[in-house]
Amino acid sequence: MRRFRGKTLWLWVARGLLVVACLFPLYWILNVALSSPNALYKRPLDYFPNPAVSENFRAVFEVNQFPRNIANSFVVASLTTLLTLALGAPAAYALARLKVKRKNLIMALFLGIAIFPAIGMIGPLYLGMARLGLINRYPALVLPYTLLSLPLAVWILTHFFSTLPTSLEDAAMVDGCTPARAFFQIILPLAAPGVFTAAVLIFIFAWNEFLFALILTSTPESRTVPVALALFAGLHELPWATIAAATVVSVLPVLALVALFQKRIVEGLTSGVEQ
Amino acid sequence: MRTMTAVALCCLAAMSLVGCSSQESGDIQIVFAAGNDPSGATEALVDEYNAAHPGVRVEFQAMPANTDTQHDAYVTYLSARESSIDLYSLDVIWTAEFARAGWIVALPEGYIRTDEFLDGPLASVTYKGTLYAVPWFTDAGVLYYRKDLLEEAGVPVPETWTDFRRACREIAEPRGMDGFVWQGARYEGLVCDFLEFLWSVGGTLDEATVVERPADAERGVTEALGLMLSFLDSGISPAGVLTYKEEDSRRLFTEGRALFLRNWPYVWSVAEGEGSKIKGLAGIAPLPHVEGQTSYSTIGGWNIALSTYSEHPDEALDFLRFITGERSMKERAIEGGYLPTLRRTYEDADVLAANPHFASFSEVFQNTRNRPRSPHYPRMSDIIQENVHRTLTYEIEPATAAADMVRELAEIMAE
Amino acid sequence: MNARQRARLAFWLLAPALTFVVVLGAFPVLSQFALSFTKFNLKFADERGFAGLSNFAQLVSDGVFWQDLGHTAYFTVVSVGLELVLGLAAALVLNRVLRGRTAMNSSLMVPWALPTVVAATMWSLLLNDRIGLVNSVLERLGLMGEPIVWLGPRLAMTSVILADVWKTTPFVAIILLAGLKSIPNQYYEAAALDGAGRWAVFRSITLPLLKPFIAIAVLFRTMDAFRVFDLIWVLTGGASRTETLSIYIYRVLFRYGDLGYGSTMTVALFVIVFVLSLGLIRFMRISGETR
Repeated sequence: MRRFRGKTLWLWVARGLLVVACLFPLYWILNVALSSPNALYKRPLDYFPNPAVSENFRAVFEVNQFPRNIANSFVVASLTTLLTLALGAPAAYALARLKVKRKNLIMALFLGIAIFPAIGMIGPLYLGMARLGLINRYPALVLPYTLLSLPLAVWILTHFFSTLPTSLEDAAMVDGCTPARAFFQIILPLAAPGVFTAAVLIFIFAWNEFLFALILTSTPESRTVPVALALFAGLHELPWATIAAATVVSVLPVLALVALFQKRIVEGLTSGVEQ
Repeated sequence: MRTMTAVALCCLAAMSLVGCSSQESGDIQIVFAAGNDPSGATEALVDEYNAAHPGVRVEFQAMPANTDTQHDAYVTYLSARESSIDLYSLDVIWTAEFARAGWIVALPEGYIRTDEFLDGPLASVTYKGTLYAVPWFTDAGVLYYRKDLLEEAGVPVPETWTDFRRACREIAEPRGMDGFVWQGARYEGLVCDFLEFLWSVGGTLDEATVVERPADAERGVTEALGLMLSFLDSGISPAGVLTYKEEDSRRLFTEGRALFLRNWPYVWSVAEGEGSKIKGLAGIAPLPHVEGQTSYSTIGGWNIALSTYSEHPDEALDFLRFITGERSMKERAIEGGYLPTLRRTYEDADVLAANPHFASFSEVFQNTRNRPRSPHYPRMSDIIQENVHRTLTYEIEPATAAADMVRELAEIMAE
Repeated sequence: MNARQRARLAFWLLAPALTFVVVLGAFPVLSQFALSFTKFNLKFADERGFAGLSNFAQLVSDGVFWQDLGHTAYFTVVSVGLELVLGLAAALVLNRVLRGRTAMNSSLMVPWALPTVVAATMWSLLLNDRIGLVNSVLERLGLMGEPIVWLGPRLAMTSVILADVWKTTPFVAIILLAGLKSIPNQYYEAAALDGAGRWAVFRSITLPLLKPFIAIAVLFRTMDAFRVFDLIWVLTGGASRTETLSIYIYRVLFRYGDLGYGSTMTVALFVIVFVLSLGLIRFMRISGETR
């Protein structure tokens, strides 16, 4: 009993530290967003907004087309995630499960793309997107983002698929299942935590990317969140309280979405298979 | 697997459908790319122009106001020969670079009346004797001081560095305040601050001096670096100043924790605004200098130029005349506090009513200088930044830094 | 399914992804290789031409390049090492959480989900020597005499690394957590029956089965750390020996407009990281084999 209590205590301390380390800045940003712009430098500092104000949030929605920018980020990040998984999952399945000639070469090719510094790619990609007339349209961002995130997706999924026992699909195929059905009904649900992990990493990467978004979009209606955040600053001034409020407005939905997605879909899929 | 392919195809189809397209109409479209104006004055002016000019539609493409960010974007557009953007706002240090690259075109003879503009901004739009842009708004380094504390101690606003240091020792030190804060981080702002210190000790980095009399240039640089080090060594400036940009140093001043601040004119409205702890307590003066010398302010600000790849240069030039015209400058000064480049706007009653402090800037604007004007400026700026910052962090000796700096600059100037 | 059917299936599964990568990636990547053999400055159109290997010769004798390579390597080794240790610890802790798991996992995501520029600006405010929160807390706790200049000459690299560790440890933790979840419970049950201690279970079951995921996390973090840009650019601008290769490349490509030499450095960075990755893969003995 004694030992058990000690063990739990240790775990609780570790959990507490983890949550504090991760959430502290969010708390701080929320505090800034809800305080008047100069409260940040008050000494001694107020640990809670005193008094709480909504002017920073109002400023976010007043000046810019911020809701539209959030919607754009949402569409771009979702499409990037879907396209990357649609291209990456089959490839990863083939690499993990089927005998592929020059497999190492293919893995290395994906890796090579991931290594190439994005800074050097922006010029040529701009030229290409401009020729295709895609500037200010979603594909201008979705296509480069997919290119940049495909390697990670392929590598993660390949390893996930290869950890699953082959007996399951073999059994399914003996039962007359097509490979496609075996993939969708057996492999994919089993690999749900892996697919989810890849999806989250891709989604957040696409949500936060700045340089491509800056250069490949130009109208206020087509900007994404990171560029919109940069537009709040003046030439010298940094209205940090407004930026904090805008950050809160844009980060909370992402976190809520990720939590919801994980609870409903991933755990649903995984537990369905286990039963 | 067909389902996966179908998902992929649907994604592509969805993207091409829901992308945002620009309005199609018979109007000639002029796109004007510039740093965002949070006051909204620029957008209002563009709307006003559009209303008065049927057949032409000007779009204001707001970019992040940050200099580096705009530079990256514009370089990418222009090297791709992008024709959809007609007018670009350019930082004063880019004129030579963009003109040499052939990205912006020389303005027609007599396009602006040069005698109406302030000298410093006008020089910044000139490359090899030709005008390549129109000055839009300006900036210059100034010294902010705590009027109340100087008066209380019966100390006049210091004009020389000796008096300045004494004021710091006598007023700031006993109060536990910082004496002098400025921009010492390694970035473009450090070049502006360094040049002001250099000029205040009588030094210069003119092409003529650097190439023909390098020993003189070195002597000036060494002395300026010694001056900056003396602030750090004596504790007049906090060690952290080497990590400060504009806002970091401004915050210390408006929080009432520093006696003197070197910064741009924007600080005035922040200091007088809501939430400032020194409302009504700040004063503006030219920077101090050593005895027998004069101080100069580094010029900042932005100009507007016509892209070489514009498909409607005539219409674009017409709009350029409007947006850099007197009405526009007055409007932007009143609404956004941007400092005009036309001389007479500084005497305008409406402008002065909205910006009473503009009157105090006139003394500062008597003595302004540009940073070196060269297509190689970005490299020159990095050389200055690196040598200055490494000296201030005690990595190298002032004399070594000065010799390296002058030699490397001379090599570039000779190219 | 016979071998030929399998091969054909594999081909059709791989074709879309490979086509996509080649069509979209070939031009940007190959143009860099081509440019590295030219003298090509955006601003000096009249001075362009074939340069042979002169850019590479310049690279070999460029002190700044090698010095920045050193900074980059130091940054990468220390930050990825810390991220691996902390990420593994976080994943192990989170894997044992039953109630409130979703909330814990979401809070882990916060640093990763903050835009880099916002996170960097936030840290520069927190670390300000005079009015930053970190110093004022230390002062209140009586742990500090003189204000600590976190981004100054002595501590700049350490502060930058800590900010990066804070921001990207979740990336490692998320991958490792998914890896932990993929270990079937039967293994642990069998080990429990054998009466294995916790350390023994960790060493002989968890760690070996987690190895491929550790390798992926380390691989992708190493590649990202080697290209670190935004965070350092905002926090120090590359001052006080924190300039990394990406910052140098950025200066040469964007600020100087020197596409020839900039591309040469890009190619060199590519080769260095590629060789490093292959070494890492060989060392970790992973390439996606079915175990």
